[in-house]
Amino acid sequence: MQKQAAEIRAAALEACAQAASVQELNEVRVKFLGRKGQLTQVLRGMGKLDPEERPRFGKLVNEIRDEIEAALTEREKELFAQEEERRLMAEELDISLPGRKRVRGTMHPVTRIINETKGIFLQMGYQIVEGPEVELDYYNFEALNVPADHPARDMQDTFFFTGELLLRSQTSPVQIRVMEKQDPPVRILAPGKVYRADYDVTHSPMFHQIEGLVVDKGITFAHLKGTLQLFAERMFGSETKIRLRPSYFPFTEPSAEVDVSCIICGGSGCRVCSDTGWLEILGCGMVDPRVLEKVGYDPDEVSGFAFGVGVERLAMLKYGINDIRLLFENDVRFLEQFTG
Amino acid sequence: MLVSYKWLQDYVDIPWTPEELADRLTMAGLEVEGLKPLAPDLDGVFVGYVEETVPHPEADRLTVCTVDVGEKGGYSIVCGAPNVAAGQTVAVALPGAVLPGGMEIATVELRGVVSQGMICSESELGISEDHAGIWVLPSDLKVGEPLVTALDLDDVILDVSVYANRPDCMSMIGIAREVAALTGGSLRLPSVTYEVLPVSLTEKTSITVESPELCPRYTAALLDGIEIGPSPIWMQMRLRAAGMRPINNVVDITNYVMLETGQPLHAFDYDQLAENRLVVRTAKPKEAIVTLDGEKRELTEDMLLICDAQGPKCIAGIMGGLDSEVTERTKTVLLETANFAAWSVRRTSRTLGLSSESSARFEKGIDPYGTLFASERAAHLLQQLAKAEVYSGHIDVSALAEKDVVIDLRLEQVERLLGITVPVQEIERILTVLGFGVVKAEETVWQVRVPTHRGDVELEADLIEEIIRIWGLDKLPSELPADTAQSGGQSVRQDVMDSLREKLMGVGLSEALSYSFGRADNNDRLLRPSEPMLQLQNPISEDLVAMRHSLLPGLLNAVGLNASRQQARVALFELGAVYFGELPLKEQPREEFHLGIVLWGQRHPLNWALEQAEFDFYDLKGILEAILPACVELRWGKGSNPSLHPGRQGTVEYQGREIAYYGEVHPAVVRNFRIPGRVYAAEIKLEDCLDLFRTVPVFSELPKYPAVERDLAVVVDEKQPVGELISSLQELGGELLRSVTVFDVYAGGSIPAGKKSVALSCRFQADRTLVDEEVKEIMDRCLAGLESRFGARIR
Repeated sequence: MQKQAAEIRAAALEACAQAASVQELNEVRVKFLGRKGQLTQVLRGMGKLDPEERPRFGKLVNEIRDEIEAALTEREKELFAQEEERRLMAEELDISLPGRKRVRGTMHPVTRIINETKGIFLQMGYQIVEGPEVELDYYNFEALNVPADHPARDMQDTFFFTGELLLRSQTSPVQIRVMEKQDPPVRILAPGKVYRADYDVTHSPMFHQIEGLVVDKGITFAHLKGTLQLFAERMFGSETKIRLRPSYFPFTEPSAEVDVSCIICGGSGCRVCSDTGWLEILGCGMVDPRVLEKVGYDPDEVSGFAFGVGVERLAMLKYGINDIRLLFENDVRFLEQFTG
Repeated sequence: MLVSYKWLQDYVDIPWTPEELADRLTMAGLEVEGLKPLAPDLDGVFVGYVEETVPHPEADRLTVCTVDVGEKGGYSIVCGAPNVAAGQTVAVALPGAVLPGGMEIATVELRGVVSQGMICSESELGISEDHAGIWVLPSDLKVGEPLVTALDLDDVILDVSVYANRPDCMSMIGIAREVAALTGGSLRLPSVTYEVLPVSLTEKTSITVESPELCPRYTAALLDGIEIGPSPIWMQMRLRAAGMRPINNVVDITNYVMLETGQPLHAFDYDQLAENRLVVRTAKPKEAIVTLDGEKRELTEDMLLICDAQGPKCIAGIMGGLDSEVTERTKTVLLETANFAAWSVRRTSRTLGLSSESSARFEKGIDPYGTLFASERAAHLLQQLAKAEVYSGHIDVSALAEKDVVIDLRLEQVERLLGITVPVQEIERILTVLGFGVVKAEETVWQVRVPTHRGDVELEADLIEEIIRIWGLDKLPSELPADTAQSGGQSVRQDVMDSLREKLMGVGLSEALSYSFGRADNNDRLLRPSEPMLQLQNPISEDLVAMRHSLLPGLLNAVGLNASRQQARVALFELGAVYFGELPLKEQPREEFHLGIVLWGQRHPLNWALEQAEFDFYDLKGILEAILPACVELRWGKGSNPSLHPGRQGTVEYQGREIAYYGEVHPAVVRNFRIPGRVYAAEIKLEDCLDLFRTVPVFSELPKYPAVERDLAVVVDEKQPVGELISSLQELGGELLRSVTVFDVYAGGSIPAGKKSVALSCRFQADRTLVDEEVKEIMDRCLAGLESRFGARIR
């Protein structure tokens, strides 16, 4: 009987190794270990043995059973892994196909520049404020030291509704509206739409400006320069330099234009900066004492600086846009480039 | 202002190259916008003398010239110009020369005759556009000299941009004064001396100023015995360098002195003036004048004129009349150097659409005390160059009040405004060389007298600008203002717009920006009642004239444009103002911020894994549902907006106010905007619901017990709004029925005609485990309710 058990063991292990599928393996299990299986049959025949031999034989059969069970389990794992491997290989996808497209919309480049600028000045404690686009002559000109028939009115071709009402040609009237309502210290940033009767590759009848104004005791031209230096570095990168050139605005004295080192060539000269190494980006100056007096501030007590940035100009420089009209055409091929 | 580098050196020493000078001027507030050589390289071009001309034996139009080129010898040159003649001094390009156009000069044979060079026109030399014939040069040039030397063409022209407040810099002397301030040198004024006749001009003429408020000063001089002729070549070349055309010696001198001093001059032909006198007055009704350019100008009664005893001879400060201009026959000249009110010249120039070098200066406001100097300078030149005999004295009609502008300048204020200390001697030097009178009043206070040519300087701050402008803005340090206690922030509306923008991009819409003004008939095009919109008085185009009432036209234009450019999908939004005002407009209109949305074309970009389908109504509604807060009670109702499809539109109400309309755009509107296919659009009045977007969500406890879901499919009338089924179910289901979701709507097939099947999923939830019986009881109740209310049948 021992011999028979040994043969069953050998046959079972052989069958186990030969089984090619989980199905076959189950058949092996039934054939050898099932209720009518060969090993069970052998165990049933144990009654024919000597009573002393029975425990030893029983132990032997149990060991064989355990061994076969272990082999079955082992083989089952193997087969399962093989089968899974086969199934996974059959499920292989073409990962070179593009993903199922998710569309995220894009932010208009003008808004991007405004938001970026807002972020820079919010950190410096500026309040973001707005003012009306349809303005009174008083706020757009008079209060800014530009009386009727002043030659500076020719600097801006203004759209009019009536003699008194116009589309603001600059965001500067917001300065006056804020100062009329508030005592110093003032620290504001006013982005918004402005309008001038001009239309070509670099001029649009509607465009955007960002006005900045700081009024307090002891505000100096050096503060203005430092503030704009910081702005230029944040907007165009920490290597950016600025240069102030004297200029003329009726509502600032002294006034200056601000150039940044060319963001394309870094200052060595290229087509974008007309080989000067510099790009003009904004106008600024110390608030004219007459403007401060008009809103009831004492120019001997407080001083202030103001600056005005052309948003489209910044956007065109920063993103390399060559025609301002593209900004208001809403061609989706243009708009959808401003991702991220 | 075009400034000749060489000419400028008449008035100031310049230790810099033209490039350095340009840079210094720019950094002092006189922006040099361009720098170019006066003339191109003209190697090989010489002054020649035409000794003899004979017709070409083989060609009618050609002339064979014998040309003397001094030490270079004699040349035989075939010339095709009609105006060539013996005795002319000309510009000759000899073999080997390369002209600006690229033409290489060589010895050639022209129809059998050898030609050893070319006699040049102005355009061939790159001097001007004139190519009518050869350039005949003044006879006093030295034959054989290189042309560049003979004409002083070796010069550089600076294009200086002069700000509106600096009319004094629209002159060579003005620029030279700035240069002197920058170099530390001094200004040299030109000569104004001349001989006078023993007779006073008052015996010969008179000036009457009837409008002193428009003509604060009128200075006249009288010059006799004038010999009209060309002005000397150096003057002609300087005028050309400044962009003006030489005419004759008298006109050229008036222009030259204007360029030199900034004071416009006008020369009248004395003998053409009725009664030989002038009257300065405003125009009479229906008066007209033919100006120098040959145009007849209708005048209005606010326009200032210079007239003789009969009628207008000149539009003051702008342009002279044709019939009193200086001609070859002119013998006696009445010379005007006047000052006119800037605003008046500016207004007349705008009204007539007529401007000149003269008006460009007057309208910025020039020095009223500069008339005498300019008159004397012109008299000096006229005597030198046109043999003028000058009557003694001037007629000088002045309504000017003696005005001495003296400003206190405090050192402490300089530092307070600039944030830097400027050396005291620099302050004094800069102001002095710019023409200011500087007197020390106290240790750190000066009394500064403003020169009459600097009418722009009125305040201490203006003086401080002068100081830092010349001293150098580059010397300013970069500092930041001290921190204030306040933190940065923005308005509620700005917060709402920022967050909406993010949401809209998140649902796949891109931001558009359109013009705030559009066509005046946009309300009609939208089928809206034609409420008049605010209109610009001076639009640049009929398409950009009326302030928008809605964001729709701009967005529909964008759809039309993209459709015409073969784009498949347009999904855009715009955040911006619309404008409403009572007409006629008396006060500022209301500016309300709106959000506009437009969908057109393909729902998804073309993609292998996405079903290709067009946008529909429910895409639009889904976007609104996504961007409007779900935690707030909103009423979604039917709409009746005339711009939208009558059966495919809705409104959203918040706190009893309609805050939005949305739907398919009416096909007639779609046609008006030339769009193919269907368009979906929405507009939200943000101003009416800002607080809606600020609603803070409130957390509710997560359920601890399992939910029970029951599906339900009913057949109802095709027209039955599903929304009513849902609200009925919610009402019938009571508080245990937490949500009802439509998951299928189906018609056709096994469903009878005129009916539709609606499948709904009901979710029950309680703070305990629900038993089947109670759920069944509720579902039965719901079904019975749907059956009785809507005739619904269970499928």
